[in-house]
Amino acid sequence: MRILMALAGNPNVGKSTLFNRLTGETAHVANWPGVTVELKAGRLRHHDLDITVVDLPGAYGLSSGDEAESVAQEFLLKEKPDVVVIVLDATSLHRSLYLAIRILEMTRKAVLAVNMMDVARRRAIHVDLSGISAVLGVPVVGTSAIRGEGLGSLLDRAIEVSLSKEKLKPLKIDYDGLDPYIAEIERILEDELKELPRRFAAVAVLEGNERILSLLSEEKRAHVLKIVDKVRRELKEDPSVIAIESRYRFVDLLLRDRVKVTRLVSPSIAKKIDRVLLHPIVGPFTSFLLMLSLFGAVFSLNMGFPLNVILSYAGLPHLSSLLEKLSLSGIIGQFLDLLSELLRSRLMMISPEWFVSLLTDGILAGVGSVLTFLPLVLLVFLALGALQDSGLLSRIAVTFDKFLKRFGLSGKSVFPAILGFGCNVPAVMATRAMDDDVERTSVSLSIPFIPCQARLIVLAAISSSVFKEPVVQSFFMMSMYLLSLLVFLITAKFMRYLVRGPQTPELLLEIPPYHVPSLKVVWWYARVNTAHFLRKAGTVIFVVTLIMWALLHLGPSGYTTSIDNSFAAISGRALSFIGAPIGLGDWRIILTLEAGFLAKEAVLSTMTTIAGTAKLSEAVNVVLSSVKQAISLCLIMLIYVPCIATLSVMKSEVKKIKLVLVAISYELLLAYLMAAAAYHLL
Amino acid sequence: MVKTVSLALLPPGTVAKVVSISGGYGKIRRLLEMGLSPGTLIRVVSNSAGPVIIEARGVTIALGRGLARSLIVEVVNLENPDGSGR
Ligand SMILES: Nc1nc2c(ncn2[C@@H]2O[C@H](COP(=O)(O)OP(=O)(O)OP(=O)(O)O)[C@@H](O)[C@H]2O)c(=O)[nH]1
Repeated sequence: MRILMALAGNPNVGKSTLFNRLTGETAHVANWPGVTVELKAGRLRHHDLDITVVDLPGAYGLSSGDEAESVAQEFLLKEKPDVVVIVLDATSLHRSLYLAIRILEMTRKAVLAVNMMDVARRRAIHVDLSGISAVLGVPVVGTSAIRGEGLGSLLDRAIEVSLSKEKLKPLKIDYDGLDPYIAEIERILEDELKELPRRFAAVAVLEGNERILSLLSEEKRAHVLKIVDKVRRELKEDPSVIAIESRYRFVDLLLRDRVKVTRLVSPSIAKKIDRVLLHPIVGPFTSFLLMLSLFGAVFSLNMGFPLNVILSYAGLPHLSSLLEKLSLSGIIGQFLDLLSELLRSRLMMISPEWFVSLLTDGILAGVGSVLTFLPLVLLVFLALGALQDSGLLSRIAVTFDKFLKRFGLSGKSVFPAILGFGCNVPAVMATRAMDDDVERTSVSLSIPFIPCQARLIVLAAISSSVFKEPVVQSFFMMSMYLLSLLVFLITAKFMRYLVRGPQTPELLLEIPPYHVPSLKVVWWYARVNTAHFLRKAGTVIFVVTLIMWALLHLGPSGYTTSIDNSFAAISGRALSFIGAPIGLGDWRIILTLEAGFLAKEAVLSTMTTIAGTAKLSEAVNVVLSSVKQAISLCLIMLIYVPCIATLSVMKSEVKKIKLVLVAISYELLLAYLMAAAAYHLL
Repeated sequence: MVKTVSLALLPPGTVAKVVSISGGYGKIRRLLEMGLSPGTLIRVVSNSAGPVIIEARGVTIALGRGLARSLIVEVVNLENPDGSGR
């Protein structure tokens, strides 16, 4: 598969730098049949695809007046590249975008590379790349050609575009007063210039584009020129002037609210903050507290945790449960419960039981679990966005670099690691802030070993039901946590070793100046990531929840209200021989673990269902008969597969399903071995 | 007679000029890309156990110690340790 890719852009936007970056030593000068001058071309391979890159001369527009512009236009029209990478300068988007929309009027097989992002960052210029992408209908990627930033995803997007079969109409610009004349010319061009987009050709001839006019028959050309004269007479302006103004108006509108220049923090204050944050001893401590309070607040707002634990330890259990009730997930949960009750009572009489259950326990529960994650993901990314935008993020990363390097991790992995204690889902997503792809993958796949809040709940319930003394309970919980963390660190190191060999990454990071964070910029960041979650992970979570509903509520004889007869119970019985060597041969325990795949809290609710009692500690004691069993179950629960929500974001971040499957097998095996060791040695 | 040392050994506040980069092609390229080419003036902002933080061409950069060791520099002058002024 050969792909022809053209680089277009204004002079001095970094096109040559990008070209050299992409093609390296392969650059040469080549002739193209359609173009009179020689052009620089080079080759590159990406994902097993052979890509020819052509560097078009720097141009400001496409009107044929200037030599460089006509060469660029000629090439795009004649060679019809599979994808045009339009290089823009982030610090002067206005002018760059003018050319971009000219090209997009011709073809939408294009990707925008907003280059010089490093300079923009330094000058506190923020660009809403996804907002621009939404309006123009082509991917927009931020790059720094000189630093090599963003080139991987630029190539990925470019390949997606060139392989896409979708027929996208060229961009349509509103030409105000010219529009009726354009329509008239489009009718005249009916069966000429077939290889050009109709509207593009019409506008071009209206603007007096010699090159395209010359392709017309004598008679049509005369006809078109008459219309041009008519425009001059009626609008008292040259058509090309009107066209250019219309385009700039479009660019103005596009950029309004999508570029924001924030204020830099004054150097003297910045220096003071740096003295604390970058201090060898005070720095890590302050950073840690900062993250703990920021993410602690985010999680507490969402699910009450960890503030609820602090409150109940402080002897305020009422306040603690009030907080849980009033947390976002608490409110969403109550609302969904109410809705499901309502549906149940309304439908019970008129529809079969299985249908009501599918609707409430299946569909509504699936929507509910996506819905409860949504505010969490949004808030976590608002917090991360604020850290990134202010310039704190890279400083915190530097602070933790020394410590994390021992485990083959870089400083930026501190964010996913800490978030993981609240919930693994945003933690896996937070790996996006990391620059190194290998590290992103290895951290994403290791995150599930960090015990999230749901696992804390299960752990706490089991330990308080099985152990009598609070001291033993605390000791048990602590050891479980430490063990998980150890597994996380070792796994991350191991995964990295597998991919890249023994060397650890060396930190090399530009530390941006402190910005006063802007809500707008932070919102752009959070919006993109939340939308990504909804699109990529949301659907998977929903579908798997439905499948799990079927397993738990259907049996050989169809719908069943008793979990004992469900497919899940049957498979639990079938699988109990696996659990036997580690003390978990009871099919009911296997069943709880199957349910735990849905969400870890489901381990507990399944126990109460099986035991037929609402009291948790009783239920735990019904299902578990010995301390050794409890320890074995806790180990399994902590280490075996994460919940489906985590798995689905892992898949959407890592992108390779094979790697996720390998990670799952590794988790299962490790969980089993650890439980076996604990069961037999203790 | 100029004395060259590795960046990793310089105390905060030192102003120095990049002389060369020792190490493999990958290392050299990464440092060059960050703008740390020979001749560039740099100022050490902080240097303790972790990464070394420097200022070069108006940009603050953090380098892991391994990279800092490969950056060979020539001391221009020693400033007051808090590093104010240039
Ligand atoms: N800071 C920064 N500088 C860049 C970047 N990309 C290119 N440059 C610099 O910008 C200048 C212009 O880059 P070129 O690659 O020559 O630009 P061009 O678009 O090819 O310009 P023409 O050759 O005139 O068409 C050079 O000094 C590059 O080193 C970038 O992403 N960040």
